[in-house]
Parts: sequence; structure tokens; C-alpha cells
Amino acid sequence: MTDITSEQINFSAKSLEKTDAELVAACRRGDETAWNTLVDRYQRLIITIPRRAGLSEEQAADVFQEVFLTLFEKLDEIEQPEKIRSWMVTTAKFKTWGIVRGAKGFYAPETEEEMELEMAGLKDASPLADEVLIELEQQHQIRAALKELEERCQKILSMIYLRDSAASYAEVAGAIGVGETSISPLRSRCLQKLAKILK
Amino acid sequence: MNFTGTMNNEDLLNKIVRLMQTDNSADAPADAVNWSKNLFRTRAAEPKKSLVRKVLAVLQVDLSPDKAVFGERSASVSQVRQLLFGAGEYQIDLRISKVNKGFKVRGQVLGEDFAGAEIKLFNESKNFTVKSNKLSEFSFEKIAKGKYTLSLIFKDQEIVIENIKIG
Repeated sequence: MTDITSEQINFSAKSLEKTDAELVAACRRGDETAWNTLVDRYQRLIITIPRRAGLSEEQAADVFQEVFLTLFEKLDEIEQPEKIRSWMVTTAKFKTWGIVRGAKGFYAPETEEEMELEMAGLKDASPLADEVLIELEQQHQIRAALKELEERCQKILSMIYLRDSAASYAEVAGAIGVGETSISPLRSRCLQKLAKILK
Repeated sequence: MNFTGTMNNEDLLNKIVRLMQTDNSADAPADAVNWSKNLFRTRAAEPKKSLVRKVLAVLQVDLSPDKAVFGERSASVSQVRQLLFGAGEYQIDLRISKVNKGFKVRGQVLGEDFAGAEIKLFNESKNFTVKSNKLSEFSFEKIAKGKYTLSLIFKDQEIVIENIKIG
């Protein structure tokens, strides 16, 4: 089983306000704000991994904290800071599987290499299959890109696509103060802008 | 699977829409986020000339009073909450029990000798300090319900356990 790389995801981080590498460099200089930005940027992605694997909220929070603790401890050693997203995802996957395996009474490997071997031998690794993790990363990137859009576009796309029950055009029109017939072309334009950021 | 490789614009838009519609992720618990953010304070607050090495302990086991020990066939359950933390080469065994006036917090540092260490239990309004005995054990009495930090200072290192919920 291979690690998920930035190349596979193919969503550039160029549109984000500060790149991960810039934030890691700032953290190394003792910039607490940069660290907080990193935590905020990745909190939802990281917690989603153990949740998606079926861990309890308590267990998911443990995995979450361990991932950030490990990142914190290795801040000065990371050789490719531009790839910390993939590194964090792999770390979260590794720690999640440790708990899943332990709970089932299976042997829980101690090293990442052993864990990868174990996972490769499992018949059903679907909760944390690479394709699932790639989608989670892509969803993370869409959320990040959405923040780059102007407020009106953010509101239109979020209301239509990101809610549990999608808002009607009438509701969106009411929220942003335009006529209902304007929503369809606005939605289309906002979507194009979002795609442009992600390209 | 990638977004832009051979994908035309329409397919890309459809994919973005699909991913947004299936995005059922939610924020991490605020406690866990704040805990992770606070990690950095130990780095930022570390005096440059200090030789004290600070190690943050990580919770490994939390056995609440109403839970039997995992893997054990226990007919009765303990009334003591047991927490086990890992910190480098050490483990810290904490036991919290309800007493008449508040809580009793007992602990032992497992690993190399930790006798005579300064052990502090504190939060924003309270601060207690004891010394560990020859068996690296320590105890705090009549502790009020709340969230505390435990600091164990021995020679050139400090082990810190944050966000201990008592009560």
C-alpha cells in the first residue's frame, strides 16, 4: 500500500493564504499564530479519519491529539514541510488502525512499515482505503479553496452544496438579497471560480 | 484519481459538486483543538537558557469507575478512576477517588527513579505541591472538582500532563 502523495491529489495549495511550508517555517521561528493556523487548517480533515473508520468520539479525539503532538514533536525534523498534509493523513491512518486492530484483539504492529504490511493483508480495509483518504483530502482542499472566494460566492455554494439539506434557490436568494432568477447564473460563476482556484 | 489530469471542465465541476455534497465532515471537538494549540506554548514559553527538558505526557489508558478493566473478567468494578500516561521513557499511573471532601489524587511514576521530585497540581485558581517518595509515589488530598495540570519536575526534566478532569 502506498502513501497518498500531493501529486495524486493534484490540488495545488498555491491558493491558500500561507503555504504549509511557510507555516512550518514560521512555527520553527516560534510563531504561535502559525501553529494555530496549521491546527485550524487541518483539524477537520484529521478528526474525520478516525471518525470515518468508526472510532468513538473519545478515541477519535485521542488520535487527533496524538497526530498533532507527533507533528509538534517533529516540527524541527520534517524534511519536506510542503507535504505535511499527506504526512498527517498517513499518521492519522496509522494511529487509527492501531486502535481498530487493538479493539478487535488483533496484534497491533508497532512500526509504520509493519502496519502497512498488516493493512495490505486485510480483506476489507475500506474505512481507510486510499481512495477514501484521497477524497477526504480533496474535500479538505475544496473547503480551503472556498474560503478564498468572496463572501457572496462562499455563501451561495455553501448553502446549495455543503448543507445536510440543500437550500432552495429562493432561500439562497433571500440570504444574499438578490432575485431568485439570479441564483442559477451566480452559482455557475462561483463554481467556475472555485474550480479555477483548485486547478 | 485526480482532478485535472485528463478531466474536462464539466467533469471537474461535477466532481467538485459531488465532493461538496458528500462532505459530511464536522469540526473536531473544541477541547481537542485547544489542547493541540496549547502544545505550542510549551515551545514558546521554554526559556532559551534552561536545561530543563519539557515532555508532554499522552493519555494511554483511562479506566473509569464504572468500567471493568479491559480483558479482565472482573465480578466487581473499581470505584477509583485510573489513568495511565506515557511520557518518553516514563509512565505515570494516576488514580482519582472520591473522598468525603473532594477527591484524592494518587500517582506513581513508573520507570527510572523519580524519588524526591517536585510534583505540582494546579489550575487557574489553585496550586498544590508535594514531593514524590522513595517509590516515586505522590498524593494530593481534598482536591476540588475541576480541570488541572500536573507538573512533575525531576533533575533536568519536567513532565506535564494537561487537562486532567477531576470529578
